[in-house]
Amino acid sequence: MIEDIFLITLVILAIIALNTKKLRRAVVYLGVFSLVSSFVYLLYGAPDVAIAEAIIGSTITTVLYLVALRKYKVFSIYYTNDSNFQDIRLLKSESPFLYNLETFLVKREMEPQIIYSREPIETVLAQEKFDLAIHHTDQDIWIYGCAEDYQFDAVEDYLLTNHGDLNLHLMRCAEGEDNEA
Amino acid sequence: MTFLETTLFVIAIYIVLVLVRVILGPTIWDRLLGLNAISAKIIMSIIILSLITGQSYLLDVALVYALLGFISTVLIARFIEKKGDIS
Repeated sequence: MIEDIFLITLVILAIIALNTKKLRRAVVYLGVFSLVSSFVYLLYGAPDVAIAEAIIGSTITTVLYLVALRKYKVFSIYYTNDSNFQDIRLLKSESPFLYNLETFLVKREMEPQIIYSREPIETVLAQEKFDLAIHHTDQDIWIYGCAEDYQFDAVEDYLLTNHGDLNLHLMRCAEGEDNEA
Repeated sequence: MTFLETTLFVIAIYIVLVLVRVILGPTIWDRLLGLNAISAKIIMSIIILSLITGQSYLLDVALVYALLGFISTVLIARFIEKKGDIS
């Protein structure tokens, strides 16, 4: 009876940890998973395995995952505009905004990766995995980011202090859309 | 079912209830509190299991848990608060 409850819990947790979209959440789910699994080891009469799982599973792997998340730094920026295709270097020299943004991200030890997309912005928002999506029209610049992304907070601060003269519109996607970490 | 087995069963149901908060929880802090609550309830159920089976070495496992269980909670909270900087 009690074994059944814990085993079903384990299966549910494993599936959710695999299917989650944010890596931080997956770390929490794996912590709960290793807690419950070590109790199951105890129920089946293996206390030494349970101690090892308690030490390694719920402590060391959590620390390792967090350190690995910190090293996860590639920051992809999708850029679309209304005019025709331009070379990305030409684009950077033409709009100092993009160049400054890239320099700012490099200073924060990120690796910005600017992808020029010819698709309309709605398609990019729906289909691609982006950290930042920029839509550049004649007068306005629309910037889309994730609401929970802390890098986006820093980008917002930077842009509002240094590029307040441009017509910036910062949009935050709701939680659970296609962003990671 | 004896009294201890009933208690263990009730604690197992509590774990499932907290698990709902861990899975649904709107923010990451809810999930973190759920992790902490589940860790406390696992410690309780280990102690009750040790009383049921009469094996006192299971208490050592509970001790290890109580001493180490906070580390993951503290580190995840620190990770989120410092915005990715855990040092």
